[in-house]
Amino acid sequence: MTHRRDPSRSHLPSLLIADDDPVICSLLTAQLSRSFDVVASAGDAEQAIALAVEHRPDIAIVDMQMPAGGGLRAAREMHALAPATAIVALSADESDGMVRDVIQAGAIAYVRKGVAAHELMTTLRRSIEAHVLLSSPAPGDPVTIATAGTQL
Amino acid sequence: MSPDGSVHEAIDAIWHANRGEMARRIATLEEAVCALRSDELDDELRARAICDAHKLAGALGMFDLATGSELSRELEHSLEAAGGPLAGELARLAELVLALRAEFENRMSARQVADLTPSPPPTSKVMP
Repeated sequence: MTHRRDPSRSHLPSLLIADDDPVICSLLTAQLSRSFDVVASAGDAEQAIALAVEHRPDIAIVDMQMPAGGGLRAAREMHALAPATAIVALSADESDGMVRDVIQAGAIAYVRKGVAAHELMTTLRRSIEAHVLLSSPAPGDPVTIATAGTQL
Repeated sequence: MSPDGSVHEAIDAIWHANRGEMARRIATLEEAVCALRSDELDDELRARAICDAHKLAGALGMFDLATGSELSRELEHSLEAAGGPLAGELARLAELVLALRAEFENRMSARQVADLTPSPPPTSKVMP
């Protein structure tokens, strides 16, 4: 699912949600649409990669267990094709191996599936702040200033 | 209405729209545990139960049913174990499914009470 950005919401960070459970997609949209402009949602890895390339969202929440290759593959390809997108991995698997794989795939944060909405918001906020810090180019760059000024 | 109020309303609406699907997922787990009891849990039913337990674990937590989420996670892990659950785990699995069903029904009851609560009467009336 995709939609054209509403100009009145262009001050909000753009968000892509990728999860094969439509209930999760609906819940994340309801919880996050006040602070993010949800530009697209994907039901599998192939769709997630295509939508990330099309929309270049500021942030993407990606379920690690999705059809068509899985979330790790989606994260790797999104990181390669849309490197400015901050990827947050969503998974029920908390093992050290999964967390390591997720970071190696290019994700900047990991959220355990099933966390309450306020924990999710805190993680997303910190992810964006960290992503801006880590990817800051020279001072005065207008893109960085616009992103850093985003209020959540 | 406060912004948080509108988010809660949106989440309630999503619950209302998807409660049938949540019930279906729980029914799959009940079916799997029954099949296990009679040693008839085949690979297809086991795979469906694992998938539905996984989806419940994710969604229930986001509906603020943290206990339901943990119950589903434990069911998922037991069903996923190599060779399937052991005979000795059957009682525990039955307990988990019963508790999960109870969590779901409690959420349903709370929603129904909220739906049935009448609006307060008007506080003023214009007299002729």
